[in-house]
Amino acid sequence: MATPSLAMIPSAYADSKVYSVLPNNGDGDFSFNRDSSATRIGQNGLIQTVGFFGNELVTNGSFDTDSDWTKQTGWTISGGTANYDFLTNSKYLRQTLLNGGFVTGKTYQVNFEITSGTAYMNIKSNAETLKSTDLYLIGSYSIDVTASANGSDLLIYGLNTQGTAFSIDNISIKEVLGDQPRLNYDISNGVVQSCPSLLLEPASTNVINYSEDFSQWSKLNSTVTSNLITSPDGLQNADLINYSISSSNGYVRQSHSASQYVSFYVKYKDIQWLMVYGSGLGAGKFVDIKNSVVGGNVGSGANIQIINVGNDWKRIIFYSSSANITQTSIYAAASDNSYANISLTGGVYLWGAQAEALSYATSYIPTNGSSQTRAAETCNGAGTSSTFNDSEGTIYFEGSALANDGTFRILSLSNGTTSNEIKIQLSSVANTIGYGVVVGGIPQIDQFYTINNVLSNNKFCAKYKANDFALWINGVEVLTDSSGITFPNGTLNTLNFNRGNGSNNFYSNTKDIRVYNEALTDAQLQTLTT
Amino acid sequence: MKISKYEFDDEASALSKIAALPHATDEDGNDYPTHKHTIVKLGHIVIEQGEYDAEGNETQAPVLSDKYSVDVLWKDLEETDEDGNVTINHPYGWAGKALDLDDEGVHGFFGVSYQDNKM
Repeated sequence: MATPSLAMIPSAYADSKVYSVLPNNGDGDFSFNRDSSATRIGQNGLIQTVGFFGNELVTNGSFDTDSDWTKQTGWTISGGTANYDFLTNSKYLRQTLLNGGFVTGKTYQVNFEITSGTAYMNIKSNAETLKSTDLYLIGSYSIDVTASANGSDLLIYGLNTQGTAFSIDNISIKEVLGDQPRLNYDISNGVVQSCPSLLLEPASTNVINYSEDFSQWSKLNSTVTSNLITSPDGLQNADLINYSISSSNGYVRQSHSASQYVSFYVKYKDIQWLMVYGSGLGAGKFVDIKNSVVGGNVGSGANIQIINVGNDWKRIIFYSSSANITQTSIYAAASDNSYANISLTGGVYLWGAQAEALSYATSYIPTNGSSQTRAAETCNGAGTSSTFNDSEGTIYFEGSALANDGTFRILSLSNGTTSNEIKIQLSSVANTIGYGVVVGGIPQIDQFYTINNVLSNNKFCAKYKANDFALWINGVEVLTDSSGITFPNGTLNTLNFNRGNGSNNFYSNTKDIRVYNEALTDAQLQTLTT
Repeated sequence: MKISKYEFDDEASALSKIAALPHATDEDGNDYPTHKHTIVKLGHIVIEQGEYDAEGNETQAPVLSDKYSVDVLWKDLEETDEDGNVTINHPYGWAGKALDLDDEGVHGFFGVSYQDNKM
C-alpha cells in the first residue's frame, strides 16, 4: 500500500490544533476552533468537560472571609473586599494559588473588580511581574497574562504614588486552555470503543435551565433526593426521583424554549416504565428503562430512542418532527400504556437533561440556572500546495455523520474556493453520499449514492485522475466517471472539514482521514475501504 | 473574544442586524456567515412561567418580554490603530441595543463567563 501524503488519526492535539501523523513537519495539521467549553466521552466512558478555561486557581477571591490571603501593612480584608489604605507604598496582598499556580508558557485570564477608589497597582507572581503598574478606575477588568516563569504565588501590589485608597473584589485566575478539540470515545451498547473519533458539532443550546438539579423542576406526587448516586460524569450528582402516587399521576417537569430534541440520562431503581410527555407537541411516549424497550403512545408525533451508555445508565432521546416541545414531563407509568389514575410507589435516577432546537441530540451541555450554548466547531487548513498532487490522488475517510439533518456537509480538498475542489458530501438527502470534482469552475464528476446508514461507521475512498474518477464505499465501487480533467500544478493546497470557503461544515465523527498522492488501484481501494 | 447581550424592539430588527454581519452567498444562492461570531437568538424571554395542569396542558400562558433578546459571543472584533492601540467595539448598529447586566443573565456560553468577558 502506498504511503499517504497526509494522514490524521485522532490522537494528538493542542490549543487550536489537531495534529496529523503525516506529514510530520506540521504542514498537515488542522487549525481547530470552538469558543466555549464542551463535553466528550472520555476513554473511561465518563462524560468529561473539555474546557476553554481551566479551574479557578484563587481561593476566596470574593473576600467573603478574612482568610486565605497574606496581607502586608496597608491591606485589610473587610466588608467583602480587600482594601488598600494608600498610607504605605508598594505593599502586597498575597496567596499561594491552587494547582501549583503559574506555569511557564501558559496563559492565564486574570479578573478583578475595583469597587472603590482608583487603584494604582501591579500583578506579580513570586517569580516575575505579570502585569506592570497601572491605574484602574472603578469597574471590572479582565487581563490575559502569559507566565514566563513558574510561580506558585499571586501578589497584588498597591502603590501610593498615584491613585487613591481602593478596594478590590472578585479576584479570579484561570488558565486559558483555548480551543481544545474533542477526541470522543463512542459507546456501543454500553461498551467504550478503543479508538476515539474527532467530534465536530454545530452550535447548540441546552434550554433546560437545571440539567442536573431536579429539585428545581415542578413536581406532582414526587420528591427529589439530590446527589445520591454516581452519574455518567463519574461524580455523585445524580438525583433520585421518588414517586408516591395513589389513584393519580406523578411527574417531574420543566418548561423550556421550543425544542425538537429532549434527552436525559436515566437509571432504573424500581420503577420500570416512564412516560415522557412534551407539551406543545401534545404527545408522549412510554419507555421501559429496565429492559430498554419503547412502549405505547400518548397522542401522536412523539418518538423515543434509547442509548445504553454503560453502568446501567441509558440516555433517553425524546423527539418530534419539529421544534415544538415547550415543556418536558417525566411521568412514572404502571405499564407500557398507563400513567394516569395509577397507584405506584418507587423511584428512578435522573441526570443530564437537555432540550435543543436542533434536529438531533448533540453532546451533553450542563446547565445550572440558565440555558447554555456550546459554540460551533471548525477544523480546517491542513496541507500546502506541496502536500498534494494535482493530477491524481485518493482521499480516504472513515467515520460517521451525526445526523440526517437535511443539510449538505462537505469534506473538501481545494484551493480554498469552490472553483477548484474535490468534495465528499453528506447530502441533504438522508443516507446519501456525494462525490464531486470541480476544475476551473467546471464540474468533472458530480454524483450521489445512497448507503444503508450514514450514522454508522463507514469508509469512503474518492479517487481522482484524468478520465478516471471513482468513489468506493465499504469495499464496493459505487460511483465512476471516465471523463474529466484534473487540476493544474500548484492548485490544491488545503484539506478542510468544510467546503474550503467556510460554508457547509462537515459535522461528523472522524476516525481516520488520509490523502494519497496517487490514484490507488481497485485492489488497494477495496482493501482500504473494507 | 467578548460577550454581549442585546435587546431589540422586535425580531425583525434583530434579524436585520444579524444579516448585516459579514456573509457570502454560494452558487446555490445560500447565504452563509463569513464571520466567526456565535449568535444565539433567545427571542422573547419568559418573565413569568406559564401554568399547566396535571396532564401537561397549558392553563395559563407564560408572560414574555416584549423585547427580542440576542446573546453574541464576538470573535476577532479587535481593531488596532496606527499607534498600536487596540480597541473593541460593537459592530455598527449594535451598541445602542446592548445591555450591561450585573449577573450572568438567563443564558450563557458554556464555560465562558459573561462577567469576565463582557464588552
